[in-house]
Amino acid sequence: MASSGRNEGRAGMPRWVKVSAIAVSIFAILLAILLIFGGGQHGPSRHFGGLSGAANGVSVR
Amino acid sequence: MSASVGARKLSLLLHISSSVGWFGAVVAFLALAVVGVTSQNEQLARSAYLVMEPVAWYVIVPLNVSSLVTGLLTSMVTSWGLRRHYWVLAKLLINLVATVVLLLYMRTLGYLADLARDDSAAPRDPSPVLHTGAATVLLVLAMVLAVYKPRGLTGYGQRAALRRTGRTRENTVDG
Repeated sequence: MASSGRNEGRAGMPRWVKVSAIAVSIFAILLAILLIFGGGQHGPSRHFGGLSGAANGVSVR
Repeated sequence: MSASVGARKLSLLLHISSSVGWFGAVVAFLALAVVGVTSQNEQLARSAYLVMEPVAWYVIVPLNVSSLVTGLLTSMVTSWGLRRHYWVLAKLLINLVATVVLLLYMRTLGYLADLARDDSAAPRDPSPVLHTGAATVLLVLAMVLAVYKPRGLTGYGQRAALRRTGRTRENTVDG
């Protein structure tokens, strides 16, 4: 990582960035759909609090 | 920011060490998570869930934070910069997402460890496998970006390159 000595002229966003952005967007949408319609058993809310055995799919004695 | 060759190499050494260490720790954690779900030996499965929390707190989280900090430092002391190249920004994004998810997930790991400690049966929760598998994929992507450094300057990077070219031409004409 010593030098960025590449001949990169003025150009738009490269294709790999566009493809990655589309892939990440699709993944985010699918994840959101899963969270909304998948029963809400997994998601960021699970990590904030209110952890229960049922919410984790774990049997608590 | 201008820095000596020694400082640049030191920051790069620290960044590579912490990032590769982080990746190795995550792969080892994935093995623990798989054992926790699949092992027929109940005691071994419970032990896996008990070990996950301290491994995450004392190994994975420090390496993760170290990778983030040394990555920021390296971008500042080398000519790559933080905002000039899309691949650097993509790596930063991957690191930030992984850090946030990991820190949020620590609560779940604590909960699973408590279950394994209190119950005679292992929790058998596949969630650590899912999270660690996703982390492994993200870290592989970050390594690919770091090695191949795909082309592409951001708008900021293009303006900085133009300014540099302008200065070089002025110096050439003046000289």
